[in-house]
This record gives sequence, C-alpha cells and structure tokens, in this order.
Amino acid sequence: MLRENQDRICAYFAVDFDLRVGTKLSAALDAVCQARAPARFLAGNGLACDFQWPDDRQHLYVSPTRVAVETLGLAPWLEHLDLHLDVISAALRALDVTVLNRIGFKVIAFLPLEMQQAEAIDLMFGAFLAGRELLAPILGTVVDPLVHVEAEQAGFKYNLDLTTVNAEQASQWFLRLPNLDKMVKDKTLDPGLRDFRDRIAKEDSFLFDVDAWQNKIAASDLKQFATSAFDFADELAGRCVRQLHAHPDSGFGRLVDAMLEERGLSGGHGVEFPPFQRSKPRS
Amino acid sequence: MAYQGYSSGTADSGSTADSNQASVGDLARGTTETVEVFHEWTPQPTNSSVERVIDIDRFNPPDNVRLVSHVVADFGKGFRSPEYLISIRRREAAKIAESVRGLAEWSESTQFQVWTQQPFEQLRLLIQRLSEAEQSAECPHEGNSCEILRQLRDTFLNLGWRHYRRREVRDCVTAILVYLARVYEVSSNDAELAMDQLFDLDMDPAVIPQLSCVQDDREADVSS
Repeated sequence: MLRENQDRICAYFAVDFDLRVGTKLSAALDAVCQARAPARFLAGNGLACDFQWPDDRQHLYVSPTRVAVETLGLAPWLEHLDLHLDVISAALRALDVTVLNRIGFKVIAFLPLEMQQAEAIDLMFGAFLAGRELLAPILGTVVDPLVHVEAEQAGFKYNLDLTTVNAEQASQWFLRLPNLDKMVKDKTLDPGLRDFRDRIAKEDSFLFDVDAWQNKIAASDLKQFATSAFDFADELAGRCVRQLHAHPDSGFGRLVDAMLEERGLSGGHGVEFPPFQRSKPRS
Repeated sequence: MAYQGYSSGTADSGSTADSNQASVGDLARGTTETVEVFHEWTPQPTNSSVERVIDIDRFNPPDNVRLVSHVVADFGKGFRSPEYLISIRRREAAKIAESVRGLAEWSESTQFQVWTQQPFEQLRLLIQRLSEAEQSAECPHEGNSCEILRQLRDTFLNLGWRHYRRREVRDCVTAILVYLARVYEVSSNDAELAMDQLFDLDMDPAVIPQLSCVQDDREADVSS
C-alpha cells in the first residue's frame, strides 16, 4: 500500500540514545560530513545540527540525544536506505553509542480512496469505530472522527492516527508539517513541494500516520529494524485500507473466512471460492 | 479538525428562501428587488416547494423583481462513489450472510418465519441503498449485485422462507452472500449462476407479484 503511493508520503527515521556532548558530538558531526557531504548545513539552537540535501528531498538531524533522517516522499528513503543507515551508523560510532534507547520509523501517508470524504467517514463507523447509532446518544452527531491508537504488534510499539481528509484539509495538514523547509531549497518557491501538495490535494484521502518503534536495540541492528519497520508500516496501511473497504483480508472478511472454513468450503485467503458454480442446466 | 466535506446523507432536502436583499430594494437603482431561493439536492431528494411573501413598499414599489434560484448540488454528490458502494455491498453482504447462517439455530422452531425477517429486512435495505445510489449515479454500477440481492430477497416471498429450514439452502445462500462480500466486481454471469443455484434448490428467485382481480375491482370501485 505504501509502495504504490510513494509520492504521497513523508517518512521519518530516528534513533535516540543517552546524552552525548563534548568531543563525541563534534566527532559525530565530522563523521557525517565525511560519510556524505552536505549540500546545505544548518546549525540550530543549542547543540543540534542539520545536514540537508534539498535536491534529494531529505535532511539529517544530529543532536546530543538523537540522530534522525526525514524525507519528502518515500522514494528518497527507500532508494538511499543503505546510504542513510551508513551515515547514521558513522554518527553513532563517533558518539560511542552501542545501545539505542529508542529506534523509530514514522510514516505520514495521504492514501487515495477513490471516494468522497463523507463516504469514507461513513465507513469509519463499523470499521474503526462503533456504529453511529451507538455513539449518537453520547457524542451527538459525529461528523469527522479521528482515530488514535497506541498498540503493540509484531514486536513493534506504535502510535497510529487514522482519519479522512478532504482536499483542503490534506493541504493544510501537509503544510503544517515541520521541517518541510529543510527538505527543499525554498519552501515558498520550490515546485516539488507545490507538486506534492497539489497531488494530495487533488482528491479526498485517507490519512495514515503511524509511528512504530522499539526500545533498547543494539546499534548494529539498524538495518534489520529499518526494513522490518517499513514492512510493518506497509502491511498495517494495507490492512487499514482494506478494513475501511471491508475487504475479505480483514475485518468482516475474517468473519466470512471463518464461516467458510467451518463448512470446509475454503482453505482461507487467496483460495478461489468454490461453491458458486453452475451445477446443472436450468430447465 | 474542522469538517469541511459534504454533510451526511440524512440532511433534509428542500428549499429555503432568503430575501435579505429584498426587503428594501436598492434605493440607488430605485426599482429592483432581489429574491434568492436555495434548493438543496440531497442523496435522497424529496419533492418540496418553497413560498415567500415579500412585502412591497407601496409608496416606492419596485419596477423589477429579480428572482435568483440556487441549486446546491454538493450534497447530492455524496454517497454514490463506486468504491463506496462496493464497500457497502461487501460489508452488508457479510452481515446478511451471518444472519442467514444464524437461522440454523431456529430451523426447527414453529416461529421460524419470525427469524427470517432479519435477513429479509437486511436484504431489502441493502437493495434500497444500492438502487437509490445507482439511480443518481453518472454511470451504472452494482446493478448485478442488486440483481442477486433481489433474487435472494424473493426467495423469502410466497412462503419461500420455509426453504431456509434446510441446511443446503442456508449454505447456498450464505455462499452467494459471502461471494458478494468478497469480490470487487459482480458480473452478470454471477447473477445468472446465482439464479441457477437457487433454482437447483427448488427455490423461486424471481417472484412476480400476483395480480388479483378482486383487488383491481375494488380499486375500480374506489376510483369511480
């Protein structure tokens, strides 16, 4: 689901560790520059520094407690994954970090649903929320729900926000994202940023915002986490969209699959539906 | 965050009139009065009319009355996207399948007819929902789904509910509904296959309302 919508996604990868100051931080900045020369450099407030590659729509943030990469679009993350991880690893080695307190991967995706927002909202009830009739006595008329979930699955802890946005809301949501100016040459003039905004503001969409993380991970497991976290986010996004569509692979689909298996009619997912066949000519 | 999309389909249809600009008229022009009427088009439009009485200044009556009629069509755009209707069909079909499956528990009951009311009503509502959306759609969709659903609905009519005491009937109908809950697109061939399956079980998936001469005579008497 995420791979098919790479140009409607912002990605953020961050590792957190115990405070590092002094010469180790300086060494980390130096290591980053050696691993990948920055096109633009920004020294922020305090000790944090930002290395930027506007042409590639990405930036790297280094602070005494965090190293992070953010990309505009998913392709800048996936296509340069090894490079990103090499640079982060170089920084971590210079910082003398062996255990990460937290390692996280965040995706904000504006997924097209090919339906209008009001329709998608209607589907949210029953898919992710109780029915309108149950909520009405308590909440009145719910016109625009936002689902926030904190959960654990497949070894990941994650925060998930789901909502539907119309074109204008998508545009506002996107333009409110921090750090956009760090991934483009000029936030007010950059055509890539405008194109991205226009793309997600072309139609009503499903906002999928997930932040998946693990705690106390060895710094050497960066790549394993990066790939598995992306796969997890991709799978979760697909499941959420299918759930909204009531697709057989989830939600109600599980119900009917269970029914079929109970009757020995189907082997489960991906099996052709057998009993719906012509048995004898109609007289 | 603020909701800026179309309002829900339960919004009342009808018309409202706004004559804010009409009470006095434009003294600069002197003689033109404007009356605005708004017609809101909803997913389930109903016939309605609007009437306003405009006070006319008898000492300075307008020479012209400008009537502006606005048709607000945004509401009408809602709830008929093909993707949405497919989702509704999948979701509701799965629920109806579960209802039909649940009939097994009451198959020996003397009040079995009462328990068949739930799936029958669910079928009727889903047909109504899909049909209404299709009527106002720019291109037809879910027509084949509706055809299968109508077949299933009709199997309950004319004492057809008795067939649902049989396990093979429930399994067949459940299988058809599960199929509707699984597939993205329903073809005309599917509708034909469904009818064959139902015929094979000696069910009547195409009930034609019986014409009653007595009823016709009664209606004729009333009209006369």
